[in-house]
Amino acid sequence: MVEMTTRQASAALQPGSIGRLRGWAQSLGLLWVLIVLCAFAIYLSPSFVHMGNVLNVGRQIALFGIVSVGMTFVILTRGIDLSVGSIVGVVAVSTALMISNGISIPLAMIVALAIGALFGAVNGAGVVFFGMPPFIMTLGTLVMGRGIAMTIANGEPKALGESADAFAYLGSGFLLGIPVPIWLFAAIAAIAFVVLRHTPFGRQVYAVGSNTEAARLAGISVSRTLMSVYVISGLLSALTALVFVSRLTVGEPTAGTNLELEAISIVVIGGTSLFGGEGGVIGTVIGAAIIAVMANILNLLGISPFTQQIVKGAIIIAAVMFEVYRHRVRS
Amino acid sequence: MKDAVLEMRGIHKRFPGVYALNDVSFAVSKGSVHGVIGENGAGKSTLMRVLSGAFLANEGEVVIDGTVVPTPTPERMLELGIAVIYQELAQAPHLTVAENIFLGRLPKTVLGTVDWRKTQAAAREVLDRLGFRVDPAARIDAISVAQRQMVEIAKAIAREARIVVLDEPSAVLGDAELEHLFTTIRRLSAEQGVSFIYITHRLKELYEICDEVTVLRDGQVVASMPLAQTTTADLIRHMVGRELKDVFPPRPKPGPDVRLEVRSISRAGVLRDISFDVRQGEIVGICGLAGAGRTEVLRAIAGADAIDSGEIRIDGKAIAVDGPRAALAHGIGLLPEDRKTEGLFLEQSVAFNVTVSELAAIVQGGLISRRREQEQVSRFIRQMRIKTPSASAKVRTLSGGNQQKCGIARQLHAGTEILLVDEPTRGVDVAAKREIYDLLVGLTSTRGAAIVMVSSELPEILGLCNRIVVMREGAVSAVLDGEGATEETIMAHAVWQ
Repeated sequence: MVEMTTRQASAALQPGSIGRLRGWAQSLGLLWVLIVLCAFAIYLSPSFVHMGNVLNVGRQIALFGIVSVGMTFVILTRGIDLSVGSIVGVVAVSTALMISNGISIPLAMIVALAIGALFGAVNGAGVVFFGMPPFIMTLGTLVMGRGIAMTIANGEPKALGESADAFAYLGSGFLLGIPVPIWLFAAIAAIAFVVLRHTPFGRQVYAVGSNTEAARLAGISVSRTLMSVYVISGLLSALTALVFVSRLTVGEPTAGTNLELEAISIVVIGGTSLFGGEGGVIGTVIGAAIIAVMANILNLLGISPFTQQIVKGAIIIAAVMFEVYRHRVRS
Repeated sequence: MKDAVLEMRGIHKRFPGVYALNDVSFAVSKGSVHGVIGENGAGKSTLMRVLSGAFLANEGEVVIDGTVVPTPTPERMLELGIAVIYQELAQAPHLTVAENIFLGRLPKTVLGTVDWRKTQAAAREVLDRLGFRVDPAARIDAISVAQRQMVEIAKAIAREARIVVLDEPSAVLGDAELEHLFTTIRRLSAEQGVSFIYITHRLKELYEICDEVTVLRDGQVVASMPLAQTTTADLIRHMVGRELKDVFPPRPKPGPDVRLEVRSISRAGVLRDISFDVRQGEIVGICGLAGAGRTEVLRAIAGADAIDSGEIRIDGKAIAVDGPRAALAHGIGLLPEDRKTEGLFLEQSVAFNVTVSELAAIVQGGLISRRREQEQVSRFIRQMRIKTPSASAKVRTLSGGNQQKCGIARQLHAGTEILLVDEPTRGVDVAAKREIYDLLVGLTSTRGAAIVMVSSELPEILGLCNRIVVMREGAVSAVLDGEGATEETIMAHAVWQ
């Protein structure tokens, strides 16, 4: 025992890090799932790898992925943001109204992002200052948000009008042959990765999620951290809305309906723990890809959208069950 | 062994990479109290989980009343009268005492609904028989930890358990409560022939309550004998495999300068007019009965709880402590009482835990520098001899003593000069205790740290502290000199005369 412990102690000085390896292994496991799914898709239909299909899947990954990155921040703090879909609705109709009424596109975009951030701040304030459980607080803003979107739009889709072409680049444009939303998602995922893994703020997010009381006693500003993650989630929801509006050229008050479910599924499948403090953006990116490829496969198989929902639900349950099981084994 | 009610024979239990139990055999005779001691990781908990049926042994057998138990499942072991009372009690906090006692087998009426009157009456009967003054109608979350322990014992007795395993009860009970528990154990073993297995770290308790003792080390039985045939020194040697010359290092030698002044701090219903000083390089102990407000004093100084009135001064200057952040900024750091729920981030790495309070120290150009982090954390791991496979191992996987060292390392990394430690050696094995004592005393000389230590273990207060603040019902009842104080003088001030 004594010999073993000295050996352990000296091993501590070597850079080889078991913990990080395990994290990689987990992401690698997910990556294998994705690769197998892709192989299966190609086997089903070679048209899976046709450029048009690949770009479509890529766009879908990007759209759901952007919101899911924000959701990852929130879930890492042991919270949840159910309001993302409704934020998309509010921002979509507001943006369409602003642009169709002649407000310049850059200004409209800035206001749109501000609306998303404001929603996030309201969520954060409810959680931080009033001690609301995140589930209830964001359930409230989910319902309210959709109501606001419907009220603003009078229940009807709002067209962009003449400026539609000028605004189309964000959702439909290409850069170096790759759709702009994919670039956008890649950039956001990369920034989020760096923020979570390599900045003090990222550390604080993990700390608050792992053990809120310990984080407070360790001198971390828990309220500032929580506030920030909800604002990030709101901002990224607004960005998603901009891509939506740009691509569809209309702002629909129903835009983003059920998006929160997609985002939560993606984050959970990506291995971020609903118990907080574990997981990260790499998992979320792979999770988004798994969900998108899965949907594509179901389409290729000609399975009806109704049945697809059943399958998707089952996958979410399986992912959470695995997570709960892992937790139980540990304790 | 004659009239052995329980025998474990040649138990082997292997986990991936760990040989947790290696040919463990011991016997418990009817109506006796059998102590099981060993350092953390010696295999005590694993052994008890094999006994409760929670773990299946790879080899070996469990024999009850001379008959081998063929399939030791948790249900079967309960039927056979084995009750394990874990340190962290598995109770339903929102249910009543009576419901908890009969959980899973509540008396039914003819209609099949729960017969509440009968439940209450039966619970009262069991509690009275045991001499426990606990209201069966009280909710679990409304009674003290000691009373909860009693409820668990009542539950075991109501099930007619014949072998009751107590897992470190003294970790959660105060001295008076522990004494009450001992009285109960003695009576149940003498009058009803119930056998007890008593797991502990504290040798003193062993001598108070146990008839026999089994010492485990590295998953093996190194000694098993009647307690009368052994001495404390023998037991320590068996436990750690070497002699522990002295239990405590020499007391710190404080300088003349007062670093921390606590002036009349009060908090409604909790603290009344608390004042004391701590000099540079001094360890001041705070002791008192459970509920006397010891932890609350530390939390108030560290900004964890707000105070209603009073003042905290550092180097003669009053400071505003309106939260842990502010306290840390003034060099005041708290090592909380419960390292698992308040202190550490168990799922995160050693490095994460050490650096989290002072991330600025590892930031370079706005980003966290892994290299800097690795350098700084490795230095702490080396200097404090934290036994961990690497800086990136999860803190959960470390032993209690090493977890505690990580907590202290965080304070040092944050540059804490006034260190408030709450039960620093709770749930820590004998050898690691000594290391923590050395560390604390070392800090007073190398860093000139001013340390306030709360502990329910009087020997450690007496052995380490320069001065001792005794508390009683939220107020300071005496400040004693560490050299001359005895357990008796402390207790005299801790309780009402």
